[in-house]
Amino acid sequence: MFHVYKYYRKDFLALDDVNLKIEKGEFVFVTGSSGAGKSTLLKLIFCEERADQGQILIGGKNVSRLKERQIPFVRRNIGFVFQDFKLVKRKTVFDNVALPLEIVGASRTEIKKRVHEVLKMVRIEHRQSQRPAYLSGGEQQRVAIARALVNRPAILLADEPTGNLDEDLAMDIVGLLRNIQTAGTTVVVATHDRHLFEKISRRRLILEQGKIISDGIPE
Amino acid sequence: MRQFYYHLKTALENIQLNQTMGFFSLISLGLTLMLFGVFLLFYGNVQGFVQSMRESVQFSIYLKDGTDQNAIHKLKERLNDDERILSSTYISKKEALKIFNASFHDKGLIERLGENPLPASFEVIVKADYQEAKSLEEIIATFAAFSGVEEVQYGSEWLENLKTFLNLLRLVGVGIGGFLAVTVTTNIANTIRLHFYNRREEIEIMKLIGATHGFIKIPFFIEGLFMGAMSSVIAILLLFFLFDVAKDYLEVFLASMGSLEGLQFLPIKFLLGMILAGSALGGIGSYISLNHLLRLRNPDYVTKTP
Repeated sequence: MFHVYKYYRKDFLALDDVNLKIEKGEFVFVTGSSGAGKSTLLKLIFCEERADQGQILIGGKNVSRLKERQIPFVRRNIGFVFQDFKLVKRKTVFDNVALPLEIVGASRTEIKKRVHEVLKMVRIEHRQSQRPAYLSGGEQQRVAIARALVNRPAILLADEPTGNLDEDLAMDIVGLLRNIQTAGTTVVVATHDRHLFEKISRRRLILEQGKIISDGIPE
Repeated sequence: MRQFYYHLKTALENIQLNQTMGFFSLISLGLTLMLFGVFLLFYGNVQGFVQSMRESVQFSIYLKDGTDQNAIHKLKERLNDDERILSSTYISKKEALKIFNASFHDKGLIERLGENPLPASFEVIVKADYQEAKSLEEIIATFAAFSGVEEVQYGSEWLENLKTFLNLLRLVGVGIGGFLAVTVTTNIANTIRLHFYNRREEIEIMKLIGATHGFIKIPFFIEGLFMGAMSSVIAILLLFFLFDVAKDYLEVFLASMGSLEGLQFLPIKFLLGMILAGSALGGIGSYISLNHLLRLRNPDYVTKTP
């Protein structure tokens, strides 16, 4: 990210001259108080929001200059775990996780194979025919992670992935994210949960009023 | 093809999800299209009637009383040789009387007159290619000039009027058709819009995980096509039911008006055309609706948080 600015209103600067480089396969925590710009940072990478100024390069591609119709193709290479899971209520766990593969036109066999693979990985295989409403918060979060991973994206973004979970479950989810990073995926987690980044020694970006005030691996 | 299976499945889920609303939409669309069907039925039957009348366009050459056999023979030969004439039949004064008596029960009418007032005549049928008013006039002029010919009667003026009426009807049909097409398209566009709003959360999620607008649109488009086609099928069924009920009464009425033609239901190609047209209107309706909905950059159902 080079000199990135994002305004929500004329007088509200969500990101203020953000410069940032994340290496391939890195694990990064983005922290800061509410309204500091954590979610906005993730949304800009994901092209859910567009930067008002500055450039964002992902794998050498300038996503800040993409046309609207090119955005879906960028998103297919980025997994996003939403704070509110964003699962389709009327679809089963299997169908929810299969969605990104349906979108890219994968074959039935491929879909079955890959969905089972990720469901096994997040340990929710036994709930595959349930609908999200019958799952606990932790289970829903696992499904959301499985869906974000099923396309084997290069980058996984997670916005407050433990926001609705108790501490044990939160650590479990973070453990899962670390395993994903170990497998080669770049993982960026936005969180204000102190327990999370205090227990795990990983690169931490601290945002305050849209500015990066600290960037490094804490002792 | 793989994606087509997904789109078809999603379209069917859409229909199932909105079945109550869909059912009422289909009934209302079916009734609308049925109105057009009623018009087509009317038009088709009038056209059939005109066609059958055209096939029997004829004129009568009435002969002066006392015309000698030689002149009658000459006229007959001339009629046989004329390439514009399909057939001609000579009806003598006696035969004319027989026909008259067969048609009217009051046999004493002619007898009271004392002598047979009916003239001998030729009943002439013209070939289809020469049934236009101008050709008919030329033919009539040719035979009116023959010796022994009293008068040539051409009773097809009303047919010309009917043809004019048919042309007018065609224009009215285009007007009604256009109006109903707009109604159907708007109705389907609105239904698809409601179905779209019912699934707005899901659509937003689909966009977030990389679905293109095209991918999101296709199931709704299929739904629109299906709705249009189904509405036409409902319209045809209703129309058939209505036709079946009204046919006997209408035929009795038409027979009393002098028509011997039976009423015909719409031919199969018209029915297929109606289904195709319904489907096309459904497609257009959903296309308009979806294009509008997906063009909204910040639709009201997306909550943006800083």
